[in-house]
Amino acid sequence: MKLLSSNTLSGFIRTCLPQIALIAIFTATHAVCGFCCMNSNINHHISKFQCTDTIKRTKPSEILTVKELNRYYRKQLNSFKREHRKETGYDKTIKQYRSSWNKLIPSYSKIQIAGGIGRIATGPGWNYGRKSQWETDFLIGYLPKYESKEWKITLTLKQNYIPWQIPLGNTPLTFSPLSCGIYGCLLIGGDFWIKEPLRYPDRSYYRFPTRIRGHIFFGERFTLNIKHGMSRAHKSIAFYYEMCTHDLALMSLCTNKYLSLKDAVSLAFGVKLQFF
Amino acid sequence: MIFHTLKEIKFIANIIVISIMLLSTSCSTLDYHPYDAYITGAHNLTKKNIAHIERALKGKKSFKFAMISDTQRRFDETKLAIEEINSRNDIDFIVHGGDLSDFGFTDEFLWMRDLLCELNKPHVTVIGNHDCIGTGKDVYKKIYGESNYTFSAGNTRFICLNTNALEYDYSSPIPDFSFLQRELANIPENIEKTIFLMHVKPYDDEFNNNVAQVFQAYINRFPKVQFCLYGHNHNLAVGEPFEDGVKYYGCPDIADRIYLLFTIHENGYNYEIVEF
Repeated sequence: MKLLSSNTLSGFIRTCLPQIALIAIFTATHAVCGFCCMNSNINHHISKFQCTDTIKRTKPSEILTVKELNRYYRKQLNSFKREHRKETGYDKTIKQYRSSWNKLIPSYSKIQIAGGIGRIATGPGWNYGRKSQWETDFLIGYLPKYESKEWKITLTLKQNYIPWQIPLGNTPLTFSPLSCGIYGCLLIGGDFWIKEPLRYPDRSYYRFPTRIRGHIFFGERFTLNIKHGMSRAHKSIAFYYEMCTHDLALMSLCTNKYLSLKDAVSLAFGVKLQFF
Repeated sequence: MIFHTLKEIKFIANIIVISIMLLSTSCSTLDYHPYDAYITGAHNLTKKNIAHIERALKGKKSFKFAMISDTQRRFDETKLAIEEINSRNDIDFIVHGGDLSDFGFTDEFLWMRDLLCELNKPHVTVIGNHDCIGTGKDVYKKIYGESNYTFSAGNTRFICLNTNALEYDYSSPIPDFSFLQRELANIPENIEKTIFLMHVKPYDDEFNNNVAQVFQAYINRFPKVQFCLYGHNHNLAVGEPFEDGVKYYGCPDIADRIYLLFTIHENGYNYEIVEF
């Protein structure tokens, strides 16, 4: 009995471990991104406070001596000089370097269920475009083994296009009637190939890579905009669903009347947590 | 959340209703990955169908069976073949010569399984080379069962073999001689004849040609070998590759709209090529 229970426990841990690890990665990226946002805010506030602080402290009612006054003005002058000294090439480079790396800070993280990229997939992403209509995600997914021999990891690069964002009256909700795009998914683990193994004649027996899949999707999303200051790290939370299909299913669908769109299309659900 | 007017509530309600309608009309199951090997519905079909065949033909010395093969990504033609076969009453069972799927992704197996289950007579399948791609081997094992198996139809023993040696890269014994040895030792008493069913015939690229002669020697040790059936080559063919009196019948792919009809009687057999 004891043996049985320990076996089932270890089995449970073994099956759940990758999922737990993924959720940990998700929370970690999340926390790091959130921390970055908060940190930059804090720095901003500190510099503001310092200015007002020095003036406050140097304004006490006691009469200052000339020496003290001189020392104070010299200090102010030096700091002014330091701030307004001529910008050197070095400064410019560093500024550019910082700003270009800053652009790489993910602006949101996503967690998605299904959609051909694993049972659960998560990762950071970036918004861009005039109305933030473009989104690029990098997702890591976990695919349980089910009937196959081993569990697998998926890496996904996903490009989203969300042309419209409609605010719903006076509510904090925004509705996007269309989100669409494409994504490529790389499967890690298992017996798959990008280029066919050497055993096949000319390495071109089947002529398609089994490890990489291309997908397209159409969906909708609801965004809950969080009032400024209500959340420590989030600007908005979006809930989305997608109807997606992959290249092989599309090929099967196009060459057969027997298959309906319903066969080839599957559903995916997800949450997007916007940091800034 | 404050809804100011009834209009806004109506608008939001409409959007939600439309979304749900879209979801329910075009929704199918969640797809974790094309190669996820996640199987729902009927499985272990070989065992179930064999039980039907053996029960129905017990003690009989003559029977009729149809052969179809290479139905990969040909759902429309397969559907026609099934309708054609279902419209006749004289067929006892159907054999499938392999290649149920084209790309080996899980949904393909499920679609073909559901289609073949529309046959009103039991059917058996062998594994094809396309069924070995990705997680296909595992999916085949779950849905149909072992890839090497035998069954009795009256006084005839059917030996169904996995001969897709190229797919296994010598990591598994293909064809499995220890299986043949075991079957030779355990032939039921009432068996008088033997018929072989495989996907790839000897001397094909996919076959382990190093052991082709050995394979034939094993085949000839079985009681009164009638003939061997195969698919894979997508054309109708009759041959005697070893010139030892054992005929190999090649079944064309289903796109040719042909199925083979074999009648086994006490003194031998005849075959028909049926176009539909």
